Amino acid sequence: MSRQFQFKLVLLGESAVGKSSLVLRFVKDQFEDYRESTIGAAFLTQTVTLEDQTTVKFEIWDTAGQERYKSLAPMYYRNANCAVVVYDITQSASLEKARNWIRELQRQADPSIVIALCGNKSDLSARRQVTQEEAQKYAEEEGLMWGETSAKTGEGVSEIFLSIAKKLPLTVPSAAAPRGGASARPAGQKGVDLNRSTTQSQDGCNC
Amino acid sequence: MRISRNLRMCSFNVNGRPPNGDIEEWILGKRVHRKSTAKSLEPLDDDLDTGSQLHSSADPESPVTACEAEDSATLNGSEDPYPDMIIVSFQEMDLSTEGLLYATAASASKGDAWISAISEALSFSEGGSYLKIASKQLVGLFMCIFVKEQFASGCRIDDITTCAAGTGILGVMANKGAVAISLVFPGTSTRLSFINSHLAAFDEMLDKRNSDFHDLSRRLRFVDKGGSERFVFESHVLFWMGDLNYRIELPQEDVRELMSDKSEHRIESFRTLWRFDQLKSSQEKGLAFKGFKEAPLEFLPTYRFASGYGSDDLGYDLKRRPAWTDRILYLPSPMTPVTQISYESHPEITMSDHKPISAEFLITTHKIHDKKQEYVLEDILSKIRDTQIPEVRQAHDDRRPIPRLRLSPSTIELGDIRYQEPQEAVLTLENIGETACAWRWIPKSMDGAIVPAWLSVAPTFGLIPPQASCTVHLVVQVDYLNAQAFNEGVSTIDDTLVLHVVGGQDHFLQVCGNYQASCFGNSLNWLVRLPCSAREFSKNRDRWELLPENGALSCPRELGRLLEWLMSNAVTFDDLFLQPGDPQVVKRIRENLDTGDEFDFIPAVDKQTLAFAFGETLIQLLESLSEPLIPWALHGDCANATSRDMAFAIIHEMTSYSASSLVTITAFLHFLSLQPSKRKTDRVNDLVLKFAPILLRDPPADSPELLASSLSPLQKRRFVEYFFVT
Ligand SMILES: Nc1nc2c(ncn2[C@@H]2O[C@H](COP(=O)(O)OP(=O)(O)OP(=O)(O)O)[C@@H](O)[C@H]2O)c(=O)[nH]1
Ligand SMILES: [Mg+2]
Repeated sequence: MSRQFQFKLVLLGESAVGKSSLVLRFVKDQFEDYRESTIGAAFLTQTVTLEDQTTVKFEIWDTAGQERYKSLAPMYYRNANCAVVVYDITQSASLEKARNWIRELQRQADPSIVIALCGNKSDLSARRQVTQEEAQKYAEEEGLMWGETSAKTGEGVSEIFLSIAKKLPLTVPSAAAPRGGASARPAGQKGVDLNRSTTQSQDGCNC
Repeated sequence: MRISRNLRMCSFNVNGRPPNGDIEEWILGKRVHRKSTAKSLEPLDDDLDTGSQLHSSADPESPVTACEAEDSATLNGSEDPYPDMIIVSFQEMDLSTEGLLYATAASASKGDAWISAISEALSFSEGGSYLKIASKQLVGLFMCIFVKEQFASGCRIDDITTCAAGTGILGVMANKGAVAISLVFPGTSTRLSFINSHLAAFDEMLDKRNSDFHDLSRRLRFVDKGGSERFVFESHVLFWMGDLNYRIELPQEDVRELMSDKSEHRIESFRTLWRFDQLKSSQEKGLAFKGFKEAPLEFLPTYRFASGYGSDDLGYDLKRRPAWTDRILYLPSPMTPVTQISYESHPEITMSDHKPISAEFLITTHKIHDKKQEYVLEDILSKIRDTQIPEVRQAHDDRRPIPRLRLSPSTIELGDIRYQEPQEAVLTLENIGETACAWRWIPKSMDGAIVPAWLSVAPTFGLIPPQASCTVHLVVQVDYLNAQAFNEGVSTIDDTLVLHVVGGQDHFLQVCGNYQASCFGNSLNWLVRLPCSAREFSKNRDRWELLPENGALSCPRELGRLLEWLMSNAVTFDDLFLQPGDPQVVKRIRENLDTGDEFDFIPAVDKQTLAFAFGETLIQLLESLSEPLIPWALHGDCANATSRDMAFAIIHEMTSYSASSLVTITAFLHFLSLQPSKRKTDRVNDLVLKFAPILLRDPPADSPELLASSLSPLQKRRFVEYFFVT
């Protein structure tokens, strides 16, 4: 019996770091050189399947990085299970913005939120302003996942979403560890168990 | 002296069959008592082949003389119960393929065979005997008129005219169409016209039937000896009968169930069926047969009959919805009272897939004494017709001066036209003729409206005395119902109206304006693919291309602009979205959105007025979308969502731009609801109340399939509330 989980994932980061491009690569495996800046937030979904046949459906909230939308961000990261905070490796200022987002998430978001720090545009390493060491060190200190990606070439993109998917069920307290379809939501939240209707009757006899 | 005359109409779609069996009850009515002796009559005109009479119970050895007939008429006086005139119409008398193109010898002889059969049936009359005075054939359409012999001598050949028109394939072929006969009832001044038509078939061809009616109304013209034309409507009474092919808009099972009602409520069941009859509803909607009268249908549908396994208990074809395809209607005039005596079908006649029908009428008219009186009556009649009956056009005749109108201006140019900003123009109609002039706007095409959706005119008709004038107001308004085609550049504000002058020449009036494209009144898909402002896009079509689906915006640019402005300027106003906006300011904001220019305001406007105007603009923009943010196809699912997760599962079904626009707006509303407020009422509740009917707007009333899944106000609110707990 395969297990299915659904998670709410929010993307944060300065405008033009490539949040929407990452989502487009992840969801449709496409890239565009010219993209319109996001207005408000974009809403998409994508499902990934892990080696153990567990499927994870991401409900993706791709927020607008422009400053004027900043006050709406809490509407999007409230109740999020995971956040991908994106910076552009060719813009050191964008890492500063990312740090601010991470601080805000740590203060305001659900305490069990899984946060990944993502250095995008790795294909432009010739113009790199943020070294891998610097970012990785910061991530380790804060207990974040970290990776570099290129929405343009696709490098590292599915990996970062996959590793988040792998990490997510593990954050569920052991008491509520997922059996054939238990909730994968952080404690205190109602999760969506897409298997619920089919597995309830078998619950308790099938593991 | 007032006299009344009994007219009997008979109509039958014979499906190509030759006469067979007894038809006297259909021809003469239930009054017929079978006689052992009958007579056959010599027809008045000699094109009838009396030699081809079919076998019947008539006994040729004992002919009844015309003298005897006179006697019985005298005996009964005006009490003679038999009709004074009998009009018999056939459809599909000839089904051969060549019949589609031209009359054949075979179709002519079929007509003869039917005339013989009718003559035979008429011999059952116990009153006066009958003579055929007129007939007209157009391939399968055939009509012939019989009168009592006593009237035949009063028939002036000059008064009988006939005409025909085809509406079948290519609009002219004769497999569908009409034949018509017009005559002055002998000894009176009453002009009667009869039309036998076969209109377009099939359930779904309703519009074609209606347009056939208008087409025939226009094309059927009687030309008298002097060459002057008379439209069919120029009659004291016009009878229109035939296989009109209108159907009943109810499911098969319902039709059959109502038909099989044998209880005392039977008539009620017929009434119910009649309510769904396409002809009745077309009349009620003014789409065809306007002004015509029809007696209640209290007989079973006359179509379609089958035999054996293919038929139901009542003998109807199982594969077709039974229908009242065969009808008899009449258009009376104030001067000639008409009383209908009967309207029935003749189910005992089984030769065709239709049943014959008949109707009897009493008309009250005046015996004429001299020619002068007739003239006066005719004149009054045509005056009434001209002003009252829309289809009338009078033949140009030298007795009357031609009405003449002058229009000024001769074209209406309205300049720039913006979304939801009505523009008015005034047209002056001046009667420059010597006679009163009746005018009205008429549609350019048979089934069209007199004006396009973006234009209204008032008045739509009138009567102007000589040397007088009248003004007509024209208002152009583009709103969300019709803006889309203009915004997308598919159509322009440019149309020609036809002003019809009764008895005179039609005028053509061009109305044009310069539409200024807007972001209001569009589909969401188009808005998110606009590469620039709506105005710029329409002005420089060659410079721009719509963004590809993949590169579309996450949310319309204009919606984003409004939200951004509201976020930085308006969140502190408790009543944002809950108070109406100043229309002038809204207009200004709309123009800025349309052009893509920075917002510029009237300096005197205070911050609160501005905030409310922005709120109002956002609401209007959402309301103007061709489909609400949550597409209609999903409304049924929305009604069933009972949790936030179920609500979001529905959002997953939406296009990414619909979903994104929705979450962007609801996130802002949610954010707004969390702001400190001095309002006494719950802010979430107030905002949900305002936005639920906008985000889940009901589909238009003319799409019943969508309306079926529309939500109750409460269901809408519950669904939208799920977005306040993201
Ligand atoms: N070379 C390169 N360019 C990228 C990459 N990812 C994004 N871009 C480009 O960077 C620009 C901005 O990308 P977006 O995805 O729109 O950025 P965003 O973070 O969504 O921006 P906002 O919506 O304004 O917050 C676009 O022109 C992309 O083509 C990448 O990995 N490599
Ligand atoms: Mg973006």
